[in-house]
Amino acid sequence: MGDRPSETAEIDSTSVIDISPAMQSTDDAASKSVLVSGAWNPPSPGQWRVLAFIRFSMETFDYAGKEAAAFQNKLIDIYREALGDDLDGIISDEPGAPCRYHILTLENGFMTSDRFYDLFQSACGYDLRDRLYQLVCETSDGQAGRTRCDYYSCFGRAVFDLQKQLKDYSISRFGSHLRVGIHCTAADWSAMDLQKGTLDYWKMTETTTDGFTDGKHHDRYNGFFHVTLAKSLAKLSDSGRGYTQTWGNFPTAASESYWSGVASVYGLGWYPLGYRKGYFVDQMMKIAKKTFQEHWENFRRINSNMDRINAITGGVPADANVLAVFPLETIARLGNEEANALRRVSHKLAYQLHAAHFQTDFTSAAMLASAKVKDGKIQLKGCSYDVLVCPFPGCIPLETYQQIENFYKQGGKILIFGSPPSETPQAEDLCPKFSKLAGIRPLTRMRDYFNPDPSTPYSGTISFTAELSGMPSLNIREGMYVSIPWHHYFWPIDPVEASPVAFNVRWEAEPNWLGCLNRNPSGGKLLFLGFDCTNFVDGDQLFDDLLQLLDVPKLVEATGDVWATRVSTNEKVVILCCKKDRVGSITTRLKTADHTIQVEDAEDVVAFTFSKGGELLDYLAHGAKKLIVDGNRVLE
Amino acid sequence: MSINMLSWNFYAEDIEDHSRVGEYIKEAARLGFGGIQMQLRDYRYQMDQQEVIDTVKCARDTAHRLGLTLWLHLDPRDAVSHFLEQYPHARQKNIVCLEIALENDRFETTYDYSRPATDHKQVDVAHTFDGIERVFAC
Repeated sequence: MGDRPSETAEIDSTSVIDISPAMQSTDDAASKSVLVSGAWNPPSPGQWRVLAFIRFSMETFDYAGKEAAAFQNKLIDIYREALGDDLDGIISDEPGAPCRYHILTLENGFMTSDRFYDLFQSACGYDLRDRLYQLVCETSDGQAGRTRCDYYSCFGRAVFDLQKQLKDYSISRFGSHLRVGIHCTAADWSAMDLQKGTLDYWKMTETTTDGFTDGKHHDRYNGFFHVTLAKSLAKLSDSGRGYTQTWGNFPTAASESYWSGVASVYGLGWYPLGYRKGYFVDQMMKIAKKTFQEHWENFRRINSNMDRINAITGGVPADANVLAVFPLETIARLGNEEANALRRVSHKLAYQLHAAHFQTDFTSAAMLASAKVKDGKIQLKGCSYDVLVCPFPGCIPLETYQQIENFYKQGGKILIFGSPPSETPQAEDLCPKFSKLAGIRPLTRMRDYFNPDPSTPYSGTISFTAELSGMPSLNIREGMYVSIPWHHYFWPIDPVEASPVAFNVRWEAEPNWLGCLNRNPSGGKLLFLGFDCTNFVDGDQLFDDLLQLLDVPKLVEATGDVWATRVSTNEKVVILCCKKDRVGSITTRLKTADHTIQVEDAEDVVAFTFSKGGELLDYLAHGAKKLIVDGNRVLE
Repeated sequence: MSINMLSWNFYAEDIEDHSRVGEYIKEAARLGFGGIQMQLRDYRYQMDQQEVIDTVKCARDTAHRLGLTLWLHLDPRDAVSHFLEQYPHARQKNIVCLEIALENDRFETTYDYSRPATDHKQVDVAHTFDGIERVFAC
């Protein structure tokens, strides 16, 4: 049995030899096994690898083919004839989701077709077949990254075209009232392939009328990522559409539906039956049945509260002062390990930031590049952000990097996790620029670990006049902190005081990592946390502490086990909070720049509306035993 | 205006007994949903079959009678067998990479593809060996 190729092995493109003629295959269709073999004399001694790409014909359609589009139209015609124009919406599912996918091993191949190869040749100017090895191996010349971007971009284009036609043709047949959406799980088992090639959230104006739904049922991180993403799309995309939904095997959590309401999303649903037998249905069905009634009741209650919240907010998006980049455009450039780290960190980021009561929006690399920076804030679509968070920006377009640098130099606050900005999709080297910006030794490649000598113990004597042991610090400057790992604690060192500052954060750190905080005279701050220090531990006040280090103000502070946010309109300010853990009674103290609110034993969601002048206009606090707003008892 | 929609997968049982469709949608309405998204997840039927079309009509009529919106899940994968009957050459290909050890200037391996292929909605997706795309030495 052949092994799957090692992703980390880097090869020299100039030494690759096509030995296809040397390969024979014998297929045993009955047992479904194929013997591949051959003989080949290497031109030179040494360690040679053989990478064989074998092709299967699938019982699914070619996205790049005209036939799929024709058949899609035919299905639309069939239902137009059967239903007249009396249909409210059409939705498609998991665009481009890979076939031949095995859910437990994450094993899937690369989808192609003869027509896809032609499309690729036409768009990219070379034959993908000649560079197939670059889809699975890094190359020393950076060419593999470009090939991967080309592959996923090209495949994504085929899917995009089919989706666009679905929207255009179905509306032409049913009429302009028809709504069109896409469901995309984009999590765990299908995340990377889907997000690399087949779903550009920020282009959904062209392919949908109502945005996307997600399957935010995998875990709470995944859930919050998608709710945050939907909220961001509703605020920042041209379509103004975000749409998130809970379906799958776990119930809608009050907290999630609450944020959905804030996000001005179209819908919310719950799908209790699990997938068909053959997926994870057996186990999940038991869970679903066991808790069926409880979930329905929760959902009903949540729906009721959501209606009230929607009535109060009028669908206005929540305020946010943190902007996080989810660089969808360049995920294809990343290896699977790093791409999954980006996904994982982005998901946890969304959760942790909300847990710490920092409101966050996601944006794309391109959208960030197009933003304006003024007075130390990023301004985008009428929104203004104090701090930029960049999880795994290893590969970003040059314009995006320049915007990050520009923001920093104008006093912006930046938090970078994982790999530093290292290269552009065109393989331009960003390492020297970033190392200069962050004041650290140039890091060679995005996937390199940052400790140059892993055998060096971290517990050595720290000297502030020389490089730290094992740390790639370039210069310790006044106003700059560096950090060392110690028993899974993060200790920023203030070189001026020559002692640890009063700050520590616990997480599941691995030995190879780096953290540094740099400040420039304009007030800009850049906090960079290296690879492997991103496996955040639940319950830590990680982001609370990190953003405090960057002097990022909270929009709302809340005590107790609740989520809280602030929603502003031209006329009013709305404060909302709900229980973190599904439904339950809320007892909390909320504090904003303008108001303090104390509420005890309210239902799972509470909301307050204030005029811009500070007058309490309305509130939702059913069942509350005590409600004190700005020192005045509203009810007892 | 937000509408709280329920994603509903329907199966052969629902197609063969429309009273189940009515009950399900009525329950959704009672629980306060504003709409239904219906999706066929049973490959005993395909979306271009009359039985399925009739089920969708039934669901649409019931939903609208109760004031619910109805969305239909629709893409070519919902009728993939019929699609491939019409367009047998429009199958997608899938490329799998194997790393094979080179020993004494020879390489050999057996690839077992008996495990059923799946996609998001289908299990036991038929797939057949189609040939060698490329072999590289590096």
